[in-house]
Amino acid sequence: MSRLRAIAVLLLASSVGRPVLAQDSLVWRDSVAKLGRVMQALADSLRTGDSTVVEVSRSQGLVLRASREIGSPGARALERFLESKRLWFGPAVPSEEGFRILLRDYGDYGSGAVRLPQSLELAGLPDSDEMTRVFRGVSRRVIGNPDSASSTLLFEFGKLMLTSTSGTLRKWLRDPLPLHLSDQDRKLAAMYAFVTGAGASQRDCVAGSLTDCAYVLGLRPTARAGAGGGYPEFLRGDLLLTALQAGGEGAWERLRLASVRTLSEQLTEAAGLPLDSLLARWRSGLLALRPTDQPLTARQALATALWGIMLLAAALGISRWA
Amino acid sequence: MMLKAMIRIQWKAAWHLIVVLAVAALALPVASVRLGWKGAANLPFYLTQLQLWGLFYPGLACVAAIALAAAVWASDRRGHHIYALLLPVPRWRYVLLRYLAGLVLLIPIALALWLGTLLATTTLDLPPGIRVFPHAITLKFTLTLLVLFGFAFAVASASGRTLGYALRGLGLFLAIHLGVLMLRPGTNLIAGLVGILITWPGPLAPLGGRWMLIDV
Repeated sequence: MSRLRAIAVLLLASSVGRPVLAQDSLVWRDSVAKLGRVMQALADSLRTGDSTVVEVSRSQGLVLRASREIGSPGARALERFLESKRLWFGPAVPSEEGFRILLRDYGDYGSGAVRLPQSLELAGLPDSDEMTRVFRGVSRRVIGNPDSASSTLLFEFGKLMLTSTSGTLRKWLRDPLPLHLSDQDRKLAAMYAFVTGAGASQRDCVAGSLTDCAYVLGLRPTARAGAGGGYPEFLRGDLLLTALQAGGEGAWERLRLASVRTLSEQLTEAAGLPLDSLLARWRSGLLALRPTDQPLTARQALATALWGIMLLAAALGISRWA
Repeated sequence: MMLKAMIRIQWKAAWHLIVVLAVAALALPVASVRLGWKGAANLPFYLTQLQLWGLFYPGLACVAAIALAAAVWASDRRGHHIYALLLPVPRWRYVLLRYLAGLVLLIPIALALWLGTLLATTTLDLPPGIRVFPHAITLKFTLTLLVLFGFAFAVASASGRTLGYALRGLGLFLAIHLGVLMLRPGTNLIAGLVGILITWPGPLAPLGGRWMLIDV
């Protein structure tokens, strides 16, 4: 009977059950290791709770909390963040109900000493349950450095701010505002992309045609045959930042209030300038960053000549042949 | 009068070298500009290529300075400076004459580079916004040549004893560097020294910076 039952089970299994796919042991191993790390991080998080994250600084309706180890760079990061925020967004915040941006590194569970993850948390008051939350995993180098931490916070803040703008603007921008870069790095990257554009309209924009600039930046259509493509989206972000800079502290608020209007009007409102003036300012700002005509200043040339004389004097001194 | 004679002697000894270096200086800008140019469509790639070509300018200056300084002193070194010591002129004047004659021989190389940059840039149909720097790059090259020639000239003119001292000093510096590196791994004396030499107002500062004949 038992043999009969065994044969029946075998037949049933072979006819009903699907063949089991061969598993790659390496994939299993990686998966288990990853799960282990996640569980470890969760266990650490539960064990330490919020006790390792303390309030470091509070200013202008924003609170910064950080792990004790990175408290001091965290406070400096908030100062820099506030400075940049004032420049681009003025007093505006993503939501009246508050918001929270959490940066967290991954900790270290390698063979050496275990290092728990560090957190940096920027919250906009009121600290309610309705608040918008953003979580971003970053490296230890980023979270422990005031400059990189503040630029990462600003980048995430910029993404939150964009959610309150019109769909037209977001569709036009496509990418988040390039606030993770320093002003100089962003402008230089924008300048190279601007000047080396190959399309006919791109070349004419560099040469000074604002109509072509409006086309290659996706602000106006063109009827011109063979106009070529537009500039990369990155330049649109740079143009918006130029408009915000030109418009001063209230620029973002004006941009938000103009969200029902056309894209060009939104930019005009934000900048407080007619579109062509904004484009002209943006264009001349980028062209001004081109390398100077003189790779050597008069002072440098003089220093080089002095070195030449000193080397000659040295040659006169050390050539004492016997 | 004596300078003229010195120039003639050095020209006779090194004219092959000067002609080769001048041809190289003439060809470098032309080749750098012409080889990668496929119209305005690939400007970013083209400028990146030119940036790499730019490394050859200080390289050429280095080769020219060392080769000429060595050529200037070659006959003296061969004859153990006996000719110089027999001349009825003070040693400092003799060295100065050698130096000035060497500088004169650098002129054809700098002029060839200037001509090359002009040839390379005037025949090119560049899009608006792109600029050319033939004069600036020639000035930078000439100053680099001047300083590097000064260095090479000083080394080549040195007596055997002075060179021995210099080598010993260099060995001592390397030993100190290794010692410091073992005691404090973060401290790199060689990197520090190189940094001082190649940043303004360091003597080798003209070697650094941009070497772009065509740029945005």
